[in-house]
Amino acid sequence: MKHYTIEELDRYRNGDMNLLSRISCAGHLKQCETCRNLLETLKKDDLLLEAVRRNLARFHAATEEPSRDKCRSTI
Amino acid sequence: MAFTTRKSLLSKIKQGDEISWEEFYASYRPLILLRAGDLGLTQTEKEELVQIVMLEFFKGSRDFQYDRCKGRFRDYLKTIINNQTVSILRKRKHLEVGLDDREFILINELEQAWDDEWQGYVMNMAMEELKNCVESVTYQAFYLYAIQGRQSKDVAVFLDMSVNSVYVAKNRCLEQLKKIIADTSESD
Repeated sequence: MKHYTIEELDRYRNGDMNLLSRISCAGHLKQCETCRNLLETLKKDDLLLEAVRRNLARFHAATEEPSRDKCRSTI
Repeated sequence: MAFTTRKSLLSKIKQGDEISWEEFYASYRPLILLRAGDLGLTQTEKEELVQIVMLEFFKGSRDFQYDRCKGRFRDYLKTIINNQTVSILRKRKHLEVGLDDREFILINELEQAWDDEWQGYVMNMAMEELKNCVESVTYQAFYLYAIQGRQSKDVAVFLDMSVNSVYVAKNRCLEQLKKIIADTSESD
């Protein structure tokens, strides 16, 4: 059985594949545990990317935007 | 700065290497500023904290031994930051005896936040390091598509590459990023 590459699966889940290829990929995924696992890996990668995006924004705010500084004057 | 070379960076600092000091400053300033923000310091106090922490680290650097068995570098740095934050808060309030309960509560509450801040720092620096590990166009494709969330087709047109190449760039960079983060976690 020929497996899909991670890029092909990434395109599949993003709807970035033509209709015929999508149908074919969906059929393959029903039978193939290896490709389903690869698809799960992509979902975990999404979480990592989300964390990276969040932290880039957080560090950018900490270093570049003094106006967002919150002074806890009550302390 | 390559995370895997932190040990050698600290070693050079110990020998008084000026360039390594600049690397160290550039690398850790954002983390100290983030921590300072979470600890509720003002902008002026944040910059003051950066200077004091760097100075403290400089003073202690000749005696500092990088030995993971004795403790993690991140914990050593956290201790310096926390101690100097307390000093700044104390100065702010002109306290002669000590801090009030709320200040200690704040420091304790943020004890757990340090791990989160450190992980954020690791990811941030890993992204910086990634630029040196892959080709410029690969990094750009990854950044535009996976980080900025632009459409793969738009990125492909902009960078004059195929849509599939955008996906290849994304997954190649992600694998490299995971490796950098894993290496760092082992070495910190």
